[in-house]
Amino acid sequence: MRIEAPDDLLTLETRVRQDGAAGLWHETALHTIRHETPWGEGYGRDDLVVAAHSRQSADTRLRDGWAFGADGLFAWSARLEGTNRGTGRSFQGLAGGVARVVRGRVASLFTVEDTLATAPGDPAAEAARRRAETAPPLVGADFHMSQLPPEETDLRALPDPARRLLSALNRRRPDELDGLYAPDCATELCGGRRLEGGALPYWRDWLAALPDAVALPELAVADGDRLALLWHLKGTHRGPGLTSEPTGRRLSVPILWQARLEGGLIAAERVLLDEVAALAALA
Amino acid sequence: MAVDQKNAGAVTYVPGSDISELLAPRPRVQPLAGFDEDYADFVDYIIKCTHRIWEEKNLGLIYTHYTHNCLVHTLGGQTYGAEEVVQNTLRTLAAFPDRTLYGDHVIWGGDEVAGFYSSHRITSFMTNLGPSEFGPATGKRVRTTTIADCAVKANRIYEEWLVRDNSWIARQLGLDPVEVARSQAAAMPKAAHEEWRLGEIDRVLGQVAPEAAEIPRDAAEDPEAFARAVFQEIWNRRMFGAVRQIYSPSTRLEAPNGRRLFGHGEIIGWIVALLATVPDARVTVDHVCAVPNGQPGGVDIAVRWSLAGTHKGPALYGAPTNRRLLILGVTHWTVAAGRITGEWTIFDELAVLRQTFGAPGA
Repeated sequence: MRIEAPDDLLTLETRVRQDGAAGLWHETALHTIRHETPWGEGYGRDDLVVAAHSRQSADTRLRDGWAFGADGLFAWSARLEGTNRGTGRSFQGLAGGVARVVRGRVASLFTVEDTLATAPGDPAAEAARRRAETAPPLVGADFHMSQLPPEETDLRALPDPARRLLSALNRRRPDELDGLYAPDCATELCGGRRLEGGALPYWRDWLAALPDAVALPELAVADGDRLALLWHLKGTHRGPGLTSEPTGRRLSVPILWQARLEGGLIAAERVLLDEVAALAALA
Repeated sequence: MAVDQKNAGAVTYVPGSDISELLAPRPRVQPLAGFDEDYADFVDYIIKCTHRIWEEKNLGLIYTHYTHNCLVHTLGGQTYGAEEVVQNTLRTLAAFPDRTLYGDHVIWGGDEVAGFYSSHRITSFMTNLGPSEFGPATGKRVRTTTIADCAVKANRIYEEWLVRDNSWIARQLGLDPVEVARSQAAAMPKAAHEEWRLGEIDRVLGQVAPEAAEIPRDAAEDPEAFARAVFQEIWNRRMFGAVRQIYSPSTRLEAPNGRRLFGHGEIIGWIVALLATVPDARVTVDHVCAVPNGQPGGVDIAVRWSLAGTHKGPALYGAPTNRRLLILGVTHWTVAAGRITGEWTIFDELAVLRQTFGAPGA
């Protein structure tokens, strides 16, 4: 199997999860593949195979898949359904990723697995259990380093409405988000949650938890009416939310955002943000 | 220095190439006087001999790929001759028998007449099944990044500079890098290595204020001038604002101890922390080579550098000891459209920590 088009990536991810065909990574990934998740970074095909085996649940299904991209940059996402191996209860969540593909092989990959939906136990307990998987604390990191408002220059190259989304967050104008959404927009979040009419309440909660947050884009994928953006929300946990009391810790949250556009507005969106991994970084 | 290697377009470019392609036999595409017949080009030589020696464990090939008097420099010590390379490799394999080496990149320069130079970035996986420089076997599997810079002529490496992320290994083994360094420092230093280390510190340190350097807009046009100006401006002149000028806002930087940095703020933060630890530090750029990377205005640059100064700040390596420190580092940059979009900077933090504990002989 080779990855020549976005649909190939979705097929690969589906077969790995539904059929247990983890070994497909050996023929579809570069031997030096970098595989990132909100929990950290893996390297090499064997890491991918091991990760696929470790998360497999016998009845996992991917539904309503999105696959798009061009020029070797492909994005996918889908609803994830199955039975939780720990609790025996059924779950609904999201999975998705974005990949750089070189000559038919995946060279690097960012994937979100929706720990909130699939964790075998309580999310806080899962965060504490997996704390060791998160990267070491940043040393001397400063996210903004300026008394001036966040610059727009870093966002200028982004396609709309991704640029407007991050600009509104950086300028603390979540009210402007209302103008980005079609009236009947459905927002899918991790953990099987769903919002109608836009994600304004969701982003207001994050800005409250991280009052000094800065949104930094990493890469964008635009293809027809579909748009994906991998970005990072970085800030200090000084406000309410996430834990019972603010921890004061610095947090860097990777987010894979995908949207279907109609008339320039967001008609449907998926926000792949692993809140359990964020909790683990604060634990 | 322009990127003008003869036949560079036909020479193997490692990123994006699968191991099955890299190890496949190919006809020669570059003049390689004195090299074994089955090497297609200089990068092919580096990738294949690394695989054959360390992954296939044919250690005897070291005798035909290193000179009898080859110098290998690490911050922890120097070795002399192919025989010592064989013996050190045996010791490493006994401690980590399943060690595998993934070649991430080979940035190179030179030719068959003047000699070649390679900067080979490697990701290694290995399981600690025997006693090692870190202590008794832990049974743990670790990953690390190494960059090996080699000067090569007629099939033989005659000088090598080796940097490995040893503090990351210690951490993955479940050990405290500071405690590992403290116990390692108790070992008797080699007098010859100490002479080299102090000599390097004197070479790097200067008494005059660093002069301004203009950073070329087109790194691909003159990678060496670009590299020297970037190190001069950011590291020697402390012009940290230049990071925003020459790094893309979404740059990822891999730094020692497994650190993964993203964006201007984190990059500036780490550089400030390191320089605050050694506030009188000076950096010299000791070697630069580069290859085009196929992107518009794109070039991959390898820089070998030395940093010397006094441990006067607590930012990274504990309470100041006022001991003189030397860092031997290698940086790889990916440059596209005039800006750095990716960086790997590797040096041995364990060896730096050992110097703070007074060994060897600081």
